[in-house]
Amino acid sequence: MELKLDHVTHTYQPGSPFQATAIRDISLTVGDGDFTALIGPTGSGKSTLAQHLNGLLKPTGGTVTLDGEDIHQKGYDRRRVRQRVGLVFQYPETQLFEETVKKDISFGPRNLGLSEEEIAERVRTAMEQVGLDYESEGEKSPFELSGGKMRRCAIAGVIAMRPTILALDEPTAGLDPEAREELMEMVADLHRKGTAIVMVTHNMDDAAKYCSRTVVLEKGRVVMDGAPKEVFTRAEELTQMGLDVPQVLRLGMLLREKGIPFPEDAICEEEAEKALLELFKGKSRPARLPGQEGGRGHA
Amino acid sequence: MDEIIRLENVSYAYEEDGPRAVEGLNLSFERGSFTAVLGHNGSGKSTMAKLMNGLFLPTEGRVTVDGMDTADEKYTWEIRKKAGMIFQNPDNQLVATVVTDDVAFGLENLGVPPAEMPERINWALKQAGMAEHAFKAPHLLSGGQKQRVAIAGVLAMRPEIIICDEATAMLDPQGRREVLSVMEKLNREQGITVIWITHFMEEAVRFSRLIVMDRGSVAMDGTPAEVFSDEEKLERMHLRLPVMARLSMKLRKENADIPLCLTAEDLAREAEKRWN
Amino acid sequence: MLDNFAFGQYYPGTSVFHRMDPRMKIILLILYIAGIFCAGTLPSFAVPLLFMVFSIHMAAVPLKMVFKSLKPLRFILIFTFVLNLFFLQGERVLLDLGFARITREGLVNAVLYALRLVFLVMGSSLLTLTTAPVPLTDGLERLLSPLKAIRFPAHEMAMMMTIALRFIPTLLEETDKIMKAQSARGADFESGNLIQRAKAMVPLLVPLFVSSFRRAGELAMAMEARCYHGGEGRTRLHVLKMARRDYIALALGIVMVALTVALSRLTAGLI
Repeated sequence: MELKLDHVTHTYQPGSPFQATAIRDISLTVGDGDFTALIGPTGSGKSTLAQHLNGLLKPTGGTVTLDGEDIHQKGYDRRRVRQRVGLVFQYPETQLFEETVKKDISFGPRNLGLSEEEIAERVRTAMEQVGLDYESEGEKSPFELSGGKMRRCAIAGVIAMRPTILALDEPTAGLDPEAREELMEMVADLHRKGTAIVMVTHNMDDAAKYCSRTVVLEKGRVVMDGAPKEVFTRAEELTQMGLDVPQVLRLGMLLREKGIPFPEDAICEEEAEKALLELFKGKSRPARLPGQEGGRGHA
Repeated sequence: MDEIIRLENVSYAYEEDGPRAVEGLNLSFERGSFTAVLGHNGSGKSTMAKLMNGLFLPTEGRVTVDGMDTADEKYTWEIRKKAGMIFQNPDNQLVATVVTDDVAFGLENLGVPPAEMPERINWALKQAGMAEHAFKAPHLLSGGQKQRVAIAGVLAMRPEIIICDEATAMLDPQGRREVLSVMEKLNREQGITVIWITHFMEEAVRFSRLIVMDRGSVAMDGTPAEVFSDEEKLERMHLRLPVMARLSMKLRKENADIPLCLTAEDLAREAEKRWN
Repeated sequence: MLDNFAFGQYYPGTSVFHRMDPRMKIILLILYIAGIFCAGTLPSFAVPLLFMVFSIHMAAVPLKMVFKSLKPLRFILIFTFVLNLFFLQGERVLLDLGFARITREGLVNAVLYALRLVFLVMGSSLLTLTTAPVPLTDGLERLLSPLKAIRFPAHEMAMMMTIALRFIPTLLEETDKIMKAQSARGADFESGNLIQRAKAMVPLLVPLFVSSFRRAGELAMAMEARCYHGGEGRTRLHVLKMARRDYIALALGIVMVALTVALSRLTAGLI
């Protein structure tokens, strides 16, 4: 299973006065087991790129191939791409339309022309995967659900198509901290169960914590591509693009400025905790500096 | 204390005999203060916001803005002029097809003489950092820019209070920074009372007072350091500590000699003290 | 991409025509329309034509922009022309095709109708080219405001127009997004018979309605929060004031209509 973008360029309204090239010359491969974070400032082409993954947009240059086959070639069944590469848009709850949660989730599978039993089975598993209760919530109107649950219901509608690659455009936008955490755990769980994930995100802490690969876009081009540790250690470049860096990384930079040898490759919370405990071993309470207690913020 | 908003025993239900979205709320806000209100979705924080400028009238209790009762019809417009409001969705609060005309909207409603308008509009756009976009169409602006147009629109009415009801929830990090900085500046330089409703913990760190709402009433109220020192309670309110606060708390639990720190700068400073 | 959708077709500028009071521009358009309908003969069309050419010159708008507005109308133009060509049967036959005849009267009539349509569209597009949406709605509101006496909701109408103009790009963008989102779930908006296609619209229309209602609710609240309470006691940022140029334009407009009528009478028997 391999989705490959080869020198993909997309120009909107070519030849018109509104001509605008959103992405240029992008080569990218998404394979089994990947958890890729797609980051970049607003307007860098992330959403345009995401829409190329399942053939919603056709590149104006270059090719998109799924397992070696050009998905835009004549005679290629586009439904096959839509099924294998799921795409969850930003604020996906705005696409809900059915009377009940179950019916809404079955929209995708039904479009695939599956049997009723198969559809019911898929709806049930999809609901389980996103943490909705089939019995008590299946017959509810999706519009009666809470914000976080509406979002998960919409995602279930895509998961029910059983894609091997799932692309999500800022899945946690607008959610409160708990709902955000739950949703990220759910995505991580899908990944553990074998779905390759491509996630557009502005949240660098999430990217550092969950992803195995980070792709940075700027002005429509891929400017960085690598493991989160490789990408996030180039903090200065990221900051210059107007992006955040994971907070742990900022802490590390500050500490090293002060001459404390905080490891450069610590980017998420757990790593920072371990590193700090290591550094301050033997300097524990109530050791040598009792007078320092009660610095700012100590309540 | 010179208080500008006061809620006394306020309850509100969206439907008669329906569940109460806020219940027995007692709060007051000092003139010129800079307060963040936290709470998970459905905790009643947005309802509270809309009670503070008379968009909602309390089912029980009393809300006063600078001494004026919001339930008293003769004060409705005076109150809304005094307490401006920025909403969550940047798209759904701009009315006109050109930025300047949108900023003028409030002034037109107040019946301000046309001759006075341009000056007030220019001043407001400048304060919000949007002067260079004065003649653009709103749909061509970024989310953060749209929110700053909305701020200018409120600012032109010369309010004393600005209530931001999750004004950054739909923005990217850059837009969020821009909008919050504008509000910080307005509080500092114009003395505007700011009530900032959010669920971004990292934003809350920058306020002098935090109020945590849960199930329609105030669950916690204090400085960020006070509120963030009770992690367990915050988790029960479906909230999370900011990353640095959580990190410093974990270190404390492991017996490291580090106080609660709210930002990376704080933590680095405290670590430095102990390093040497 | 619907992002770049430019509504209306305002062509920014500082010409006399741009600076004219929008109310006067609307009045002129009405006079001009009266003119082209009074022109009953081909020669009499020279007057509105001259008026048009002069106006375009004063507006300093590229001719191309004015003609562009005709493009979507080309089929209607051809259709009405052909229809009129065969519809009116006169005496002087020009061409006999057996099943139908083209007469001189029919030809003149067809040309007249086509010209009226062309002139009408060009005139109105000149108005929208030189007047931004805000002053245009302002002008309409104030022209119609005397009708408030008979309870005509002039202010509400203008406010509705403003809001519609403001939200058209937003809704187009949203339509595009929802269509794509449903396509990602395998929806098919392009094939099938009429009934299937109509059914396929449900997953698009329901979300659009839901979001439009939500938007309407939120916008209403935001407007109230900014002290909106209807048209009463409201002032406006743009003060409309008639200047000398407006009265001159009005005089020219009246002269134009009078001349057209006169010329139309004089040449009535000629063709």
